[in-house]
Amino acid sequence: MKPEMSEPVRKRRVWLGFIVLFVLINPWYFASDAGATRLMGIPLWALMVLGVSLALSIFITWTINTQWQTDSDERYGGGKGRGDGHDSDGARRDEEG
Amino acid sequence: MEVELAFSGWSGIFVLALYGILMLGVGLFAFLRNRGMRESLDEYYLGGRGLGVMVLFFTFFATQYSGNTVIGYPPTAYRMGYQYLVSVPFFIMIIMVYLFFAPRLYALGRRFSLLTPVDWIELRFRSKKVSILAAILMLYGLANYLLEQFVAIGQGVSGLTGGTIPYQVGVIFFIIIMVAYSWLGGMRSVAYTDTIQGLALLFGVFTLLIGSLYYFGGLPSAAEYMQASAPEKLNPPDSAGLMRWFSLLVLVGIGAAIYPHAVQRIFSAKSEATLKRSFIRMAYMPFLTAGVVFMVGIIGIAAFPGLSTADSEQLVGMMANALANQNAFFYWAMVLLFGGVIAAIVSTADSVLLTFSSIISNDLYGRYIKPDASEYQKVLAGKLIGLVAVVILIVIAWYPPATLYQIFVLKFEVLIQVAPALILGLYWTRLNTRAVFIGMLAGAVMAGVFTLMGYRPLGIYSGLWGLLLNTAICVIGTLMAGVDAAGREHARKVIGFRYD
Repeated sequence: MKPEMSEPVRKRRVWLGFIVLFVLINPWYFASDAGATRLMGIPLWALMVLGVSLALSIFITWTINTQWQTDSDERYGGGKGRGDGHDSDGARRDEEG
Repeated sequence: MEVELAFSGWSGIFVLALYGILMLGVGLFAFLRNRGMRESLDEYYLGGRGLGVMVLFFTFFATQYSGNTVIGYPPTAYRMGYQYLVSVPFFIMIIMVYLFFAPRLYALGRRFSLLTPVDWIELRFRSKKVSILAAILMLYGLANYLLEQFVAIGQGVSGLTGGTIPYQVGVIFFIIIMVAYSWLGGMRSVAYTDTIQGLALLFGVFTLLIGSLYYFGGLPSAAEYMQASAPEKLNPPDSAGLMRWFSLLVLVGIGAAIYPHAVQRIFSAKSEATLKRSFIRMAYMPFLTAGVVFMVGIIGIAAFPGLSTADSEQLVGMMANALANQNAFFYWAMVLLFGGVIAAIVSTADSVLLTFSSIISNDLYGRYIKPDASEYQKVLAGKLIGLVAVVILIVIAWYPPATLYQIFVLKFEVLIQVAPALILGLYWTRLNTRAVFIGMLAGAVMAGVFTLMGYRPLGIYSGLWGLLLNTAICVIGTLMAGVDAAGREHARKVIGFRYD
């Protein structure tokens, strides 16, 4: 049976989220003199960009936690104690053959 | 990034020597704990595919953030003001780009015991031509990347020690240390030292920020100064600035994610959960690193007004000098900061060298020159040829050739040409092998020629033009020629998954 996989690249909601956040991270939607409005010395538009950047980090966290799942560790085992490289070469030939 | 630090002479030498001894100790520790490691490619180049969350995270961190982030970014923020805020999201973009190929590449790495990015290309296309071309492009790009790090180490050391240690001695000292600990412990040494180097760098930039805020005034006074003298530094970018902002996001995101040493780290994760947790941490690091050095640059605008472009390159050195004169705490913190900067350059160089050697060991020597060699011999071949390459690069760093110097500048431009084979190959069973080969070759030649001629149509980076041509040839060639039944069957077998 083929290995199982759930991956972000095949999820429409992931693409949608990334596109919306990417569009908002580019500061095209501010007035050219927006630097005059500041909060604690930081222009408001810059705070907005930082806010969207943080939203992107949070969205990445959500995507990794919920949209990415494979059975590769269960099927092929974790890294440690897999034996030496010769064994893995053998395993690879089996897979390819 | 030549920074002269008047405050630091012998204390700089002391910190560097201490740092060198520490790195060697880490190498020895990794060696003693994992005897027999040199016998196997998996053990030497991937740390036995057993890197845990913390170490994996710091080794990703070290490949993305180098000394240049600390020394080079504040001057850029100084000159561009808030328009350089893009440096925070572009580091997040790298993780976003990873999510489009890392899950699948990790699964395939486990299943087929992949060791290097070229290993994957060989498995997918079963073509000697494609594999060798990909290997050559990667080796070439990595070698130039390494050369750049060597030059930066020399300049950093001579700057930190106020010229007490000459450029050449600094380069030789750190290269010997780096090669020694890499040989002793392979990927484990590299990853453990990355952890120490990353912590030193983080401590340094935070002290620099705190000191700057305390002694030079905060962001409000910087903003008032900008409002009066250069209000454009406070405003959002104009249309040309937006184009630059956009292309930086795209280029850095794609470029940094597909660096061969970055891709190879995916294979060394202990488990999928480990890889995921490391990526999640990486997604927040831009605020703590790029964001912090950006603020330092902004504070510099008011603290050191009116610097020319050339003078502004020395900004971090000037701020560190001024802070070091305040008291003993800041004096030593600044010495540690510059030690951390050099550490960060060394930690980038060691990752690059290890990946370079692994491609020699596994993809050239092990696959084509002597396929029946034992793993021990393959590792040895990688180490020795890596060492020869290092010696040649040192000679080049010493005596830069007067003409054709630009062929040593090409890095990213050629490395990125492997991306279509690497990424399209993960998803497209019909992808035509010959189209991949021609695309990769044409893209690399175009990027190289454009760079050498200094040609940048529409202001777009030469590497991106090469990538466009490359991708177009891959796609159009595949649509026209298709793939034979056996090729498709093989591709289905390799990249076929059940989806939920």
